[in-house]
Amino acid sequence: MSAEDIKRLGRKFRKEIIDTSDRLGMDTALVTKESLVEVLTYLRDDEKLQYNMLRHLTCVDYLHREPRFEVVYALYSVSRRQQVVIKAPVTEDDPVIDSIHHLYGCANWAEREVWDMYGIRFKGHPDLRRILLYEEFEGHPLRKDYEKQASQPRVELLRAERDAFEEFKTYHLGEPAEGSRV
Amino acid sequence: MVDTNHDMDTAGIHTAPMLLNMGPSHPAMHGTVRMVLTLDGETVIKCDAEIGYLHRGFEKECEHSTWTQVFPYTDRLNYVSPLLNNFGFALAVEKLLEIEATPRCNYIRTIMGEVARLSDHLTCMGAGSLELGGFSGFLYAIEARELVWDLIEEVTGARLTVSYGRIGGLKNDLTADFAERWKVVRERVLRIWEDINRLLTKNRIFLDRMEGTGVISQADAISYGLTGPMLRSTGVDYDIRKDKPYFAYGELDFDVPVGTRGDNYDRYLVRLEEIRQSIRIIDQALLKLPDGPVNCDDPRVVLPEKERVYNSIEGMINHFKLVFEGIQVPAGEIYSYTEGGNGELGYYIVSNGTGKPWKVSIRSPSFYNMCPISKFVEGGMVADIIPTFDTINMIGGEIDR
Amino acid sequence: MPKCTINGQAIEVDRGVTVIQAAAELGFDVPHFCYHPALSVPANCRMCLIEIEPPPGRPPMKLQPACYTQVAEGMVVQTESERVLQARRAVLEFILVNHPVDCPICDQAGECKLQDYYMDYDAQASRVRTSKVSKAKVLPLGPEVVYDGERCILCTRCVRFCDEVTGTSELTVTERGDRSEIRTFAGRELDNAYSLCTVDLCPVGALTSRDFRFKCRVWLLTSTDSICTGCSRGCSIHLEHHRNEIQRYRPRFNPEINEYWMCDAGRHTYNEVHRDRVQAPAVGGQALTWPRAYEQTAARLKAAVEAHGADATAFVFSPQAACEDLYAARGFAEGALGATRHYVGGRPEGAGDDFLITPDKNPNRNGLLVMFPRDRRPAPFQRLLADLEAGEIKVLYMMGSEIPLDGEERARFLAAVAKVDLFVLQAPRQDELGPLAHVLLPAATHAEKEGTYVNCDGIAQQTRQGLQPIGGALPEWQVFVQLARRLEKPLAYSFVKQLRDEMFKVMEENSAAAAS
Repeated sequence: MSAEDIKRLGRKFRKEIIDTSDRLGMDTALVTKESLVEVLTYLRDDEKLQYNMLRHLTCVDYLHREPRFEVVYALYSVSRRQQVVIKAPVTEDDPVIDSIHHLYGCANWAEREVWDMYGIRFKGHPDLRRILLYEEFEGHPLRKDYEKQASQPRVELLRAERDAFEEFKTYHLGEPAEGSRV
Repeated sequence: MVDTNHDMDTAGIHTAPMLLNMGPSHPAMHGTVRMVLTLDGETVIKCDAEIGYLHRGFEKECEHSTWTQVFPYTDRLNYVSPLLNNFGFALAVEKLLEIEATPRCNYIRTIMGEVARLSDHLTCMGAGSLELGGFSGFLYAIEARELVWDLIEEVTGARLTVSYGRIGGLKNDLTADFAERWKVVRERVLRIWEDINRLLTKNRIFLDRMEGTGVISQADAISYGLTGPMLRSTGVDYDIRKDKPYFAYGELDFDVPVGTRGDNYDRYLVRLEEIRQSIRIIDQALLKLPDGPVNCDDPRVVLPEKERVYNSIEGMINHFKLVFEGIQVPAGEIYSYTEGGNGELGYYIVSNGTGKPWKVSIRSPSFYNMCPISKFVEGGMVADIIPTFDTINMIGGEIDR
Repeated sequence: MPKCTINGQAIEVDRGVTVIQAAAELGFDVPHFCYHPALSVPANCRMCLIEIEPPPGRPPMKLQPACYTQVAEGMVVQTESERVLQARRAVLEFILVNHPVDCPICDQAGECKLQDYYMDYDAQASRVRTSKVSKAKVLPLGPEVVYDGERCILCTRCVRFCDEVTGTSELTVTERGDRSEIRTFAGRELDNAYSLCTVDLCPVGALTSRDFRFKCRVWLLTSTDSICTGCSRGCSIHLEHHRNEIQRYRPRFNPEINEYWMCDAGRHTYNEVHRDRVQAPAVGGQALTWPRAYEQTAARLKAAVEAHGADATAFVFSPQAACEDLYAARGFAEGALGATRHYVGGRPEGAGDDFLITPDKNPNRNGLLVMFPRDRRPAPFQRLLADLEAGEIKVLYMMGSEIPLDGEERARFLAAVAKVDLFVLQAPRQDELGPLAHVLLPAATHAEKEGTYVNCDGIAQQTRQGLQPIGGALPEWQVFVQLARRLEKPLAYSFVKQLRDEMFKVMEENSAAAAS
């Protein structure tokens, strides 16, 4: 049935759909990133389709391919029990795509994660900051050209934290507790 | 962030909002999460949850390992039910390879998966009881969990980081006395279940703290991508084991408990009942367990037996190439999903035709369950965060990967 | 120009082209062991059997070896039909019947054709119920090559190589049936100058290199395209390294220079990259950071040249360095330093042969010479020795620690150099000159930089960077740019692309002028 949904999508958005596929039973449509919000809104709001859950939002880095990135949206209709996967290509020179946080609540965090890991900006996102890594992290680690063993700058301790740590060290190592093994 | 203009003059007392930092090192923050709360007295005005303290870079590591080397990483996702993660990944790769696991393997995966689910739910309920002050409930649940883990250890060799699943099969078959051992474990777990039920379910303090707290509406739950006991507690009957059956679930008879109000108490009840249903599934599966090999017989996927490896060049070459170059998975991509302990555990894997994955993206149920945390917490009291956080059952390893 | 159809695709080829070559042109890989494009075709392994459709009305034909069958007009070939796959499975089974279970200790594991073809075409369990035939194992055939009879599949590539390429015919197949083994003829050793090429040719681990045996597992190696710097032939190589240490050289196919081959002496030159390296820039024996080294070197050079004059300043160019380094060196020597005396260093001459080895043991002499117009080329090293002993040189800037003199002249040079007022040595290795230098600057070898080298026939090749520079070494041109700036006579470029643009123009002009 999701194959029918893809066909219906293709009829409505003739220009915007670049490619469709149903390999291995996964019905997929590749759409332009400009038409993404329109397509997803249609998929969510149309009564015959009702794709009301964003199952997963992720991105794939196809290094050495133009366009380099592909943002993947796996959608699910809870009432009809059908799944479609929408993919939108994003180029390396312009790694920006529209945010869909207003369509699905979970897109807020999922898009933050894609920004954190791949460096793709989501236009219109209310709070685009890193989610899994610390703010001072440099680079976007899941990109294929990020070396796995790259080292990161250490974050300077705040003066108060550093003083507290020094005090802790002196106190505990200078006067070890009874029975401690230091 | 502190809004000092928000002075509230209640009976002539000046008040100002307070910034409270809860976590990451906190007894109730399962697996390190930091919540920065803006409080007005005991009411939470704003909550900003910060995750990522347990981020270990799995997805990057998976891109540099062979397909089989990904299994230890999947163990460490939801580490209270590692078997479910293993089998989910094995299923995903088998779909890309377009091979089927043997019937016996499917049944064993069902059985061991449900055993792991028992462990997950028992931990969640035990921790819930502990954090609300009921230490006995915690100890009962842990005793039951220990019995379950002993069983897992006999079959797989490890309690927590099992790496039991393999692409095309399993590491080894069940132990010969598994059925008898299960009978013993089952009796004791059910007795403990009764004890917990009698201790908690109609307990006045438990009800006061869990009922009506952490409420989420059905529409919100769907929009935020909640799955598993979280979603079922709001009344949506969504369980992958019933909707898109995999392994042996299609041939077994079990019910899926569904709540009504979407509050913490309903989630507790859903999990309580799911333990009984898991036991029911395991009983049936053991009766119907077919004979036969555990691994499928494709030499390009499954390692040959050691006897052949050491005594014939063909076995040696087979073993060598599979271990060093990995299973050559044809190029393609798939999103494969199973019912994990906390909800829908999905693997979106992309292969470029070699022995190492191009991308493994893990759709972790805890991550999506945590998305609406502000909605749960804001407007309620600080003390309500504790039971809410318990029933969300956020596992640090899963949310951060 | 016969036309044929392979797997449904049509192709037209020249007369005499075999089916395996035609299939390769279309992108179909036909598995083979004994076939090699540079050797004669024996068709003895039977792995390349393919199915040719019989003429209409005739019964099916026996499968034919693709390496031997020439394409005929209208031929229809199937390389993946059921009969062909069955044949491949059977051939592999036969080859593996007596093959020892050696993968864990065999060097070839990871680049072994038997392993690859087994997984692709065979993948069935062994049906052998008897013990395997045992033959000679770990038998040295010569100073470089070790033979393992049990692993050998008797494809005879090594025998044909010695017969056809080197012409020395040391190897032959002895005994017969399942006792056949490769041996040298009585009283002879496999000691020709290209004996390690047989190790490359061997599709299994029967012939292994004594130097590389058990050194590093093949899948741990990173392969970089580079060239051999043993002599001026500049054979193209795969420079294979692990953890910043070169493990071996392997020849890279280059139809213009070395085809598939490489000499043994050249393979051993990888040791030079790691032997006796300069560990850090040093002035007056004290190790410094590069910025300090630049300052102090520039200061010393300025003072020395002012004191003694440009005429007493000598600059030695090394034909071991890359073109980029030599171009920057010339700019530095003439522009910034103002040295008027130029000489050529490098390794002394050796023996050559009529195949690949040249007597000039420096990789870039042609590159060096073409940096200069014909009438302004640097003088030979003997002149430097004469000028030094005459006391005319007080400041010496030398690239490379190689001395192209032997015996008694070499000793005289070492003595004369000690009397110079300022001796700056910029080289990868210390050798004998390192301790004598007042300023010692580490240079990067060909393995650690991208550089252009022009071989004895005038073909320019570029190396890729394989290793991280050892001991803080830098490509020589970068050092010249920095020193020129410190001497307040900066060069016109600071990026390698700018340098290359200028350099290639100058090289073209000079070589065109030299030709006319």
